[in-house]
Amino acid sequence: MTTQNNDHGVVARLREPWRSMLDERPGAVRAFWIGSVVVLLLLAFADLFVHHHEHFGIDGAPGFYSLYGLLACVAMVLFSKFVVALFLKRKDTYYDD
Amino acid sequence: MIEFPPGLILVLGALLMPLVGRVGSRALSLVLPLLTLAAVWMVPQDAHVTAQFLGAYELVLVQWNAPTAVFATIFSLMAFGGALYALNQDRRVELPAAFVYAGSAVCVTFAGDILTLFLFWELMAVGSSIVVWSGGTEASGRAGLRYAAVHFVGGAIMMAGILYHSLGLTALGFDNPLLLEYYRFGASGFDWIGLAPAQLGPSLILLGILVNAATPPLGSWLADAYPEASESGTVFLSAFTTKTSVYVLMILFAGTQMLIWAGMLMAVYGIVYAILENDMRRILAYSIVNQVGFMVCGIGIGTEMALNGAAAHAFAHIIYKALLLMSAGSVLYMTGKRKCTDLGGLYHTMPVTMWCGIIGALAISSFPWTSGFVSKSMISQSAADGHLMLPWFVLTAASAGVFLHAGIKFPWFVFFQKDSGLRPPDPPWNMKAAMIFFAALCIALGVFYQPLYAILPFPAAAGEVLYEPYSVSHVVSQLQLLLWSGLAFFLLLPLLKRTLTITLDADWVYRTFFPGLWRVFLRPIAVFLGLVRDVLFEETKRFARALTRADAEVSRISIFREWSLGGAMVLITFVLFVYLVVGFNN
Repeated sequence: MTTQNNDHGVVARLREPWRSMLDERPGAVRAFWIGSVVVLLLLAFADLFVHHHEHFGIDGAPGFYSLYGLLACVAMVLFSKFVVALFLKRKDTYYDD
Repeated sequence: MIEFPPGLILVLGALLMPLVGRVGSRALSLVLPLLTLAAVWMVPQDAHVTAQFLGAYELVLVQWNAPTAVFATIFSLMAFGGALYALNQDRRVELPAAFVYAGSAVCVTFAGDILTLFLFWELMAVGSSIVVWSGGTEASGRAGLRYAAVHFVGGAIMMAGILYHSLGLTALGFDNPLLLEYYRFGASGFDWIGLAPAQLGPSLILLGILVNAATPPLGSWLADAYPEASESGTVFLSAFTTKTSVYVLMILFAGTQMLIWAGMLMAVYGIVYAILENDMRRILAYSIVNQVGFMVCGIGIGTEMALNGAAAHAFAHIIYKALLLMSAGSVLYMTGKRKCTDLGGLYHTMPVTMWCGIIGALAISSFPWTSGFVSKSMISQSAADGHLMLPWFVLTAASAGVFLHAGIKFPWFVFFQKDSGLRPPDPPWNMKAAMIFFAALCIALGVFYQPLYAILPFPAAAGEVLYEPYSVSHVVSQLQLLLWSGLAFFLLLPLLKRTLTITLDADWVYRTFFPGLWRVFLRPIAVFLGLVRDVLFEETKRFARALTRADAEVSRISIFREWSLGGAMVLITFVLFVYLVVGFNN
């Protein structure tokens, strides 16, 4: 908590789930994030050199798989969280009584 | 020469196990699956073992069908891995039941007629129900009962379809209407479930199979029952029922268009439910549905490439799913906890369990150089080759979603996340050995995939390459898809925080709705009808007795005084009620 100067900012919210890991292995977490960002960018820009055979027009476009993977997952999480959960979420003791 | 179904080694051997003492039964539990595996491979290519049934029918107990080699091999191998994992447990019934279950699955793959297939199919339901019950908790008792009920209903539906179809064939004068070749509905153009007379048989059979394949809304039994079994029980359960359904669908319904849609539904459903789930083994149970969705979709596409992909994926899936559940089972075994909210930080003291879990997670996500990569991509490729745009986009999104819900979510919440304060060591040696064995298989299959490709239903012609998974384009595109979906996970992590909740599924209908319907609606009606019965038969009898009382001294006219007030009231009420109903209708 002391490391955060703004508890409601986007960065703070992204950091929150990592708090415990940051306390234990700050170096490893930082290395993981930096490594991940580098690999993600390298992969996305690899499409400038790698040709993907296209079947449906759009799937050969550079960066298609990166963007599609990201957007599909965001869409599925939002759909689960805000549509399905809205109707079907219950306490986990629901069937106990 | 093997002149009997190889699966019987497991089924009959299982019955011996309780008789030979602890050490003996442990030795048997490792030897029987290996014997079965050897026997599977010693069945000659032209095997045709038959038996008479009821005098009139000839059952074909052993024959090679196109996907038999893949499924019989992996089922035997799985029985071995599961037995190794279960070696240190003391539940006396679980392992024999699991072997009956596994052996029956092997027998299904060798069946050459629909009745043999069905008999072993039902024996699987018996064995697996007992495995669920072996969980030994009250919850597993109830879940096992629901599990058994659903499967026997599914079996009855399938049997009805088989009867309908075979009687039709008999009427047409077929000699042996049970032979599997008369049930290849996919090849003969059956596309959708329907009520027309010609469709009814195949429709009922397909419904029965889809129950076992865990297609929503028929499949909520899976996430209901599997996580209630014991650590080792769940490992066995994950392997056989749904994959035997995949095998049977492949035999009977290859190319049935409806399965493309069913598969897409399963793939997405599994992800959505897994995202919301808190119980680690239930997360993995939902991801079984997701993965089987890929296979079902491939079977619906029905080309040689798609069917090869579905079979290969079943093979790879059984290994990495068992591995994931072994990892989760080890955590449960050592901590007694199963909810993500109670777990976290186990990387400190369970490195073997963690690494094996991560390898399983990479394999289920189809990372390059793991088993999932060389199998699942054949299904996507067949969708692309067939220009099936929607299935391709849905399956690709689902591939990304797998990494999100199983590939990262499971390891993150169990082994990292927060420090739960739990510091359990890795599990006993046999559980570690089973995990390391299956983790090694996950990677070995991803690198040396040729032996698997060689036993697929449609092997490559001599000198030709069946499928080449490792092209630069394929590796790069798959890594992009997966790692960017991984980014989505970490960006959305605040939203994915686990809560103490469940998500209602179709099992709500028979767990809450039907009991509620009984309590609120049907029971009052039954009580009321009981009252009416009392009035009609008890009160009127009393009334009649009063009418005909032998000691009635007075004349017939005076008996009207003998009426009890209650009886008169009831009679009047009844007359008024009839009047009301009749009058109201007018």
